[in-house]
Amino acid sequence: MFMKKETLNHSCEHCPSKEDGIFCHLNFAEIEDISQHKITNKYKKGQTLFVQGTHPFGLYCISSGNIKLTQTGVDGKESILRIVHAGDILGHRSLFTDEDYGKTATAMEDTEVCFIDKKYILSLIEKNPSVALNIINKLSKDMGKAENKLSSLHQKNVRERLAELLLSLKATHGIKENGRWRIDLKLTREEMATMIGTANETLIRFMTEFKDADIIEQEGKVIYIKNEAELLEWANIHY
Amino acid sequence: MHIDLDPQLLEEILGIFPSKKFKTQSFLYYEGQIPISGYLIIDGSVQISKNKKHKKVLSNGSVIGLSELLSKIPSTISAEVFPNTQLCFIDKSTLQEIKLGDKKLSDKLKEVFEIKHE
Repeated sequence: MFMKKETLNHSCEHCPSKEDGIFCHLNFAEIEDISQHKITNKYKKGQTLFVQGTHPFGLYCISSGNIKLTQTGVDGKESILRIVHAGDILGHRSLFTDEDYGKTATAMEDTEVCFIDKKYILSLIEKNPSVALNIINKLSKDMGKAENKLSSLHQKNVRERLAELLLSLKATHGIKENGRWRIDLKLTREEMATMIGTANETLIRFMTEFKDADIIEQEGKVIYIKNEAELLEWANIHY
Repeated sequence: MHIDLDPQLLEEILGIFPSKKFKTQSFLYYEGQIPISGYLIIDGSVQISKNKKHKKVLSNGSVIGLSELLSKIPSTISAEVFPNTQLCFIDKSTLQEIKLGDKKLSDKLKEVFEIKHE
């Protein structure tokens, strides 16, 4: 039953996402204790961390890669609700409720994820209430984003929502290259369409419009933002 | 491994570790990963596969993933739970808590689950 090979057990101290994490303020001994306790695994593209309707048992910390959170409706259609990346945590809401997962988490590429069980996290919170504050902070930000998304779906048209999505992808996955922003995330048109609540055909039409206006360009599946200022105008938001 | 789930032992285990029924089919862990929990099948079945080929289906009383979890060694198999299967989750924190607080119970669990690594 065992596989004799090197196990992944990177120390949290050296995690690329340490500075953004909920444990970043803990001292070395506490971080080391988490390192000893956690389980680190690699997920290949398409593998699921958890499935909608199953019960949560702890917290996932994303070390590298991107994970999509999807929800399947009664019609069987899958919508992307959120994309989480290195430094993000998953399952923090479940620490304080006994609800089943409402979403499915799937690796969008090869990712590295650490898991810490619920009991350990709760005992850590008892010893270090500041961890709870960091989780509350994270929950508050999540709630703010969810509210923004909801208002965007209600109040904005598809063009504005697409512009907003591109700006949000730029903020999380943008890499500046030769005066333009490369979105370092490969999404299919279907996936992008579900993210802004529109049909595939409508998304394609607006993508063409954005390209014709020289706001974005596409090389294969890679999207580049050429004119961020114009995109902000089109999104009808002002940072 | 497989344990004989007599009602008294089952009641005792369920009093210590949480159990849940899976509504949907899902992977508990994939080949090459360290399971995030040990799993005892209370009622239902779990499919074991290797290199994407189905090997066998485990049923009530089977324990999977626990040795790998405690020794932090990646599993050589994938485990996928079928819908409506009830599993008991043998987590590391509870085992450690028992180890520190109740030696008698800890020894009993070690014997039941054939725990060698910690």
